[in-house]
Amino acid sequence: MSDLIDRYLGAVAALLPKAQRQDIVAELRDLIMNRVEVQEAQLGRPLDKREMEALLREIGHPIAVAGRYGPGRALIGPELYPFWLFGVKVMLVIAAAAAIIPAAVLLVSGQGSTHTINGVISDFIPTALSLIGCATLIAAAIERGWIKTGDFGQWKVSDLPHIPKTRPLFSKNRFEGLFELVAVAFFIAWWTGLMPFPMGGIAYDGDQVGVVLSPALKALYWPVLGLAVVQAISSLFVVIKPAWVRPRAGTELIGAVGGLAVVAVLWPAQPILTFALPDGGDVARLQEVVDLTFKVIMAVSAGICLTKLFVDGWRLVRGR
Amino acid sequence: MPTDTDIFESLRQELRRGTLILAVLAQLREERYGYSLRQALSGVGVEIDEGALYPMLRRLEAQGLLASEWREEDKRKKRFYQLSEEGRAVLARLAGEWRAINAALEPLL
Repeated sequence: MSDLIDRYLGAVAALLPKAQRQDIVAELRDLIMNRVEVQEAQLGRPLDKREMEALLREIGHPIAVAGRYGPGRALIGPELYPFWLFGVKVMLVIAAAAAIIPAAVLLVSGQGSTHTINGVISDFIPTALSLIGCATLIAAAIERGWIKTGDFGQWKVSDLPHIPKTRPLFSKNRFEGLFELVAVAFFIAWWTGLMPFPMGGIAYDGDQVGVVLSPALKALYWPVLGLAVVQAISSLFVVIKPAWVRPRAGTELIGAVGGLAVVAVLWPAQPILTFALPDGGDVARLQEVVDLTFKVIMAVSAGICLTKLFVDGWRLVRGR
Repeated sequence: MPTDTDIFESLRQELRRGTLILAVLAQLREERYGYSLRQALSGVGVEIDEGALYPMLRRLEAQGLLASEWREEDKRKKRFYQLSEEGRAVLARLAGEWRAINAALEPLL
């Protein structure tokens, strides 16, 4: 029977810190022998192999028993856990956006296929798992004091966002701000040529269509880029410092004025995009639809910019 | 979905956790080894799992509240634990705290 006890204690010992191993194992042996003695006294005979197995199983699996002698510290403690969870949620939104937005652009521009949708899932899962793993490693290191957080734990109530009972016009929460930031980042990447322009290879009736940008649009390269950067800064405020109402209202105002100016330049310069088939085929219907789309987009954008002028102007004055 | 029994059991465990330490410290005013301590606690109606008791004794010793020594008894080496001076002081403070909580809660219950 002592063979079973030795095997059990050997399995526990292998999982214990070397410095305490001998001590803990000796104490566990005493505990087991006491229980054996009590049980044998009750039965009036030595325990058989099955009874000994049952007794040791009752004490617990070697991993569980050795674990109880550990430092007793959770991988991520209750104080840190809400921060870890928030960080993971934010990263999952980023991972989802990074997987979905390029695929959505490909699908909308007619370049996507069923592989594009499969690609969303196969891109998202490893990215999400890697991000969760990184977040967990960092949180575990913070929990153990290996990473010092310094003043990060210091926060002020006045930094928290003002949450009115009714949601004001054009207000955004952190997630919406983050989504907008990612979307603007993609736009900047396309605009600056870091990513291929989604309309670059449009097909119509099975033929590749040539797309010519309006000279006015080309002339607005830097202003549009500047407006996108301003919008990214505004979104960044929403994500990092939601309580900074005035700086955000200021950037939104700049964006609204800039947006109106862009519409004012582009409206008389229509068509914004001109389509042509290599063989001189008829693309009038396509041109008509796109022209109308741009008209609607510009009219709606101008309306939004005008409204923002008042709303963000008022926000800039009130500071809330 | 946790049942009422699950919820009760979880709350009961939470309630007992701190009181077990108090009971262990109180029983170690006199020297005992692990098994005899468990018997003594059981004798006054406090049941504690051995798997929790032994690691708890080590933690309390590491915190300086208990002192221990290995001695031979009944032809076997056993580790005897007893409250240290610091442990006695902490036990007195914890006992005061327990009585205050008890006095405050009793009229509410």
